[in-house]
Amino acid sequence: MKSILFTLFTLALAAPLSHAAAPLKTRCAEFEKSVGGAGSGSQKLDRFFKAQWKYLMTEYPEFATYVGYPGQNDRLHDDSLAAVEKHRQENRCMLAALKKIPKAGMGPKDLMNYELQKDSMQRRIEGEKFPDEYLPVSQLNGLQSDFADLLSAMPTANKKDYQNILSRMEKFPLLVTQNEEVLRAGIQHKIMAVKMFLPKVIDQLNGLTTAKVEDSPLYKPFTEMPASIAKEDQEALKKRATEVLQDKVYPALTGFRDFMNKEYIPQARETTAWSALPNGKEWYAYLVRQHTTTDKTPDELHDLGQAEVKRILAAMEVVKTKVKFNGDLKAFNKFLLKDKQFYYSNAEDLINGYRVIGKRIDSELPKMFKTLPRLTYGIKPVPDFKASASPGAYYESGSLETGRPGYFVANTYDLPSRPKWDMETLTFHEAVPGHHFQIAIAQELGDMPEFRKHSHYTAFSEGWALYAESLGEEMGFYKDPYSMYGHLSDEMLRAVRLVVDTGLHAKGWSKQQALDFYRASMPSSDIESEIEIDRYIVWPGQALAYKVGQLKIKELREYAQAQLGDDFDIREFHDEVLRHGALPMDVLDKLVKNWTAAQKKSAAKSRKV
Amino acid sequence: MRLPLLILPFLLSLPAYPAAPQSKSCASFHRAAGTGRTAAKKLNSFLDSSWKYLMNEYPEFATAVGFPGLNDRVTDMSMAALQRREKETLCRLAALKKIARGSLKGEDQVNYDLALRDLQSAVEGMRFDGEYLVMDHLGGLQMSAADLAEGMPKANLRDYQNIIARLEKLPQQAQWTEALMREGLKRHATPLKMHMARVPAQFDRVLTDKIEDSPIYKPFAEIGPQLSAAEKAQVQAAARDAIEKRVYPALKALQGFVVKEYIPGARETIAWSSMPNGKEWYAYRVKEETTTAMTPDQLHDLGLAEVKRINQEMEGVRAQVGFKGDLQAFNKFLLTDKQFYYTDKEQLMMGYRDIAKRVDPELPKLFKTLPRLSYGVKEMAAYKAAEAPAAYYQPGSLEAGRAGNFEANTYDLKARPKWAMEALTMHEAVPGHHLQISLSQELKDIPEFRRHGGYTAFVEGWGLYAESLGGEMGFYKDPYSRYGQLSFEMWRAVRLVVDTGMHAKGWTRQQAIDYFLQQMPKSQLEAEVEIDRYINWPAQALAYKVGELKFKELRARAKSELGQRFDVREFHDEVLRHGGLPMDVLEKTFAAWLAKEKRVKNSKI
Repeated sequence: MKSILFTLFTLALAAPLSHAAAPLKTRCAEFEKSVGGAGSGSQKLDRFFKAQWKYLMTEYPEFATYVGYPGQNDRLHDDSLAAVEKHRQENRCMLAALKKIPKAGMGPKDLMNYELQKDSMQRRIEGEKFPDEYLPVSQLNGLQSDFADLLSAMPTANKKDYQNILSRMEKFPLLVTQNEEVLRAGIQHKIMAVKMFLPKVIDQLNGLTTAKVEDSPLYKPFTEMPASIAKEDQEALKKRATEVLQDKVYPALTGFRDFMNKEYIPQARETTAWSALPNGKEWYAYLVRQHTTTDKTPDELHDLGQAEVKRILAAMEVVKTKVKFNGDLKAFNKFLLKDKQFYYSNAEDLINGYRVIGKRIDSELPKMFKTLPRLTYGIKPVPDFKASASPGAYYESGSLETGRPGYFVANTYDLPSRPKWDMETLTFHEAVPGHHFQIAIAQELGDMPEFRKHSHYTAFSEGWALYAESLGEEMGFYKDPYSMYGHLSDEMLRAVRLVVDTGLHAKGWSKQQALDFYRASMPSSDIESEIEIDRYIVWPGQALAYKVGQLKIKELREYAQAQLGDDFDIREFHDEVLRHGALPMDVLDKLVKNWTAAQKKSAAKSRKV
Repeated sequence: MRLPLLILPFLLSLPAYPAAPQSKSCASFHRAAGTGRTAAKKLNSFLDSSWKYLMNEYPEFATAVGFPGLNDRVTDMSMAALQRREKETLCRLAALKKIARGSLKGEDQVNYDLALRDLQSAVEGMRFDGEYLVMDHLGGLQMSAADLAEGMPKANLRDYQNIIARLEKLPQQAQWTEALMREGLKRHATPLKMHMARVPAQFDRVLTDKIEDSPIYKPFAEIGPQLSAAEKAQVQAAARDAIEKRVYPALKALQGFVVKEYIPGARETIAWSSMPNGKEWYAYRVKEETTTAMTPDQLHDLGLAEVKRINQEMEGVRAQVGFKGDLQAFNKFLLTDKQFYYTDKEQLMMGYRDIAKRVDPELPKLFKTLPRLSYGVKEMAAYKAAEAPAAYYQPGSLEAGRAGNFEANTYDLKARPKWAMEALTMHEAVPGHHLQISLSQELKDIPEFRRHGGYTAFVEGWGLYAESLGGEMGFYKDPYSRYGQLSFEMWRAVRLVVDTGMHAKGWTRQQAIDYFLQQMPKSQLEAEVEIDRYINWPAQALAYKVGELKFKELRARAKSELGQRFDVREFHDEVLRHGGLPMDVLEKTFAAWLAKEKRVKNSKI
């Protein structure tokens, strides 16, 4: 449900409070140079974006790998506190450089890019008060899960690609050391991870350091090598991988595990509300604004959630009546969770089922969209080592440049918690026309500064994906009433998130209270609901973005439909929403309204002719 | 395996008639070819007017490519229209030749050469009687009537009114068809009698007792929520009225003509050489379909050599699975053992969809440019499944909002072995037809005719080459599936032998069937369907192997000349980025690319 880019972007957004590390030399001169010299404002802006993109790609080489930017695949980012400080300074001088560019004479596209960048840099400065760099590890992210993901996303076409993988493995111990340093500083500042989740981190660490190196998820790229690499080269690379893992990576991981067990976990935080952290109330309000890209307060969102829960409950009642179930919704939910007809007993069948749905949706897409992405997507199971801590599904972005498809990654762990009635709506969300569709279209936008192709606003991406779920009915899915119920219960999930995220972090709800509310609203197993609530605890505000974004897109569609009447064309509307890449909600609102006005004008004109 | 879209080459081969005074459109082609200051501008203006002309002349083709505004019209197939178009083809050729090719560069020169080639071969084809062969057991009005709404937009009332407008034109089309068939009888240009004998039953399947059961009515029965209840009722009433009062009587009359007059007069010999001007005609077809200068004899020998080579590989797989017995026995085992067959249609469809969705994510590893258009896997309509091949590709159109579709035949599940499914998906869907055809449709900066044109050797050669990519993408891991791929390759090698055998070397139908069955796991029924198809579409079946061998040859050449620096994504991009090409032109564009790559790569070192 969450794209990998999210992690990387929060990484890029992270900025420190203050600390006593030796200062690093900044790259401010690069930005100053890009906006100096001759040229119009828009030429300077172009140079600035190029310099900034190069900076981002080289400062965050993992991000470069995901994006397909060349030449960085042997490097890892600097995760030290000194680097955090350096990035903070660089953000400030980036903003200063941007402001030096004269806006006069810029066209609307340039101005939009200018404003988007200015806004996000200013938000980063605002965020300096909230030092989330001290929280690099949770049950959902951190070096114990990100590194294996990174290795498996790296290109593996030739010898050089494998040497890059080895090179990153060699650099991994430094990253671990830097993380220890950061976590120690977090203890000092009383900004620590939630204790009850940390045993899961230990499990994940153990999952990486398997008894046989060849079984480790970190070794995976070496288990299947392309035939284009000569046999003897393959053997040599495998041997080297085994050595590096054995001699360098394993010791670093076990050292880190010991540090966690002995030093960090005993001091970790026992509270769950973000407001319990230093400056926590303000911090949460900031995160809410960041994730929703609106000025809505936690209270407003809580109330909106309650209203949506009520509305969706009524729709769920209708389906229950339709299938003639005797009993209340609670009993119906229980039936949906327990009855064997709704579950596979074999993981391969589940994945096969998703693939069949994915392929059926593929053939309906052109009816709703006039521009489709070129990048293809596949469907694969969540790797075993992290399946137990992973959500039901997530999307892994691809890159046409590097030859990597997008993936809808489906969790096949604990099959009795993967109901068939949830499969259609989940595929709409993660694959098409949801995440894969939107993210790949953005990546492939021509004629735009790079940051626009890869920008991430949770409200846009997740709002789009939730909106995409609602397209299922128009596209001929959810014909089975249970599947319709699954769709509704997934919408319910996002409404509930508004209630419990704000409840947990701003209204003093306990974890149990959140769990109870959650379980009363939809069919959900104990495991699943707990994973969900735990996620809201470690990613405050993120879960609000889905419903907020979806409601905005729906509202804009209704607006355009009302304005244009018979001239409304759904393919054109979707094109307009997606063709700018991800945007904050206010910018999207303005664009779609302008587009509607222009459409109205041209329709009136063509009628006159 | 054949593409339903590839009608253009057939439509272009028109009959010879005495020259008539220049028509209005003649003048307009000449005007277009003179518009613009440079030769390139003149060419583009000519190609543009020529494309619009084709769209207007062939509105069904316009619908297929998503060209707007013609969805209520049909192609005029009257004798007068055929004559007029033939004259216009000559005019187009003359107009094109006025443009100075020497002043064109790069892709414009390719455009010129392709347009010239298409027109010249249309003119050359005028000597033959192809236009009178409008109905046989593989196609004709008895089938297109049922397919009429397929591929037409169905988003609103207007779209359905267009479908009805075409439906109302079926009686007129039936008259044109009959006139052409009568002329064919006179000239002794007809399909084989034994094939035509199956056609009356095909009429029966369309002309059901209850209108509602007819495949012609089906699209109206399936109207979705896009129409209001009142609109739906209005459309259904109009359709029922047209079908009952006008379409049925016209088709029944045509069926009567087929039974009473056409079948008795149809041809009884299988060789194309027995048709009027037949030997030359077959040679022309061979040249057209393969886009090479290879003679029937050369193709026959090439086929025999390929059969021998592939046979050895098949032996290898048989030994690998430890089967005791010879290949004949192994083939029989593959055809009859229950483990290789589904007993449920839905399972078969799920199997194809699963394979397709496993191929999709492998594509970026081999292709740097992928089409935007998506594709689905669809069950073939029941009324045509019995006579249809195992699968075919139905092109979509991004403009028209229609996905491409790999249509799978679920009729007679005992004829749909699991070991054939991977190779079939590679061929029809991706990286085969869907990938190549959609990419071509989406090409920018080249004239429309190149986006939708098809040279069988290119399109089917690519489809067969695509099958061979399965191994590189991690498929065919199951040895039976690998054997399936080999038997598909064998199938196309055999085509070289039997097509030339029957049409140029005096083979009988039985001889061809026997040879076919000896080489691969196919049932008696499949062999007959195949051989009958080669009888009906002479030389078409040669294109697969010829094209595939060309792609393999070019890849091997690039690999050996670029060595370590060979990048398969770049290679595939190069061969696909021009759209479908004749083999000789493909070779030229490829050679230019290779030379450039070598220069670039060398300068980097």
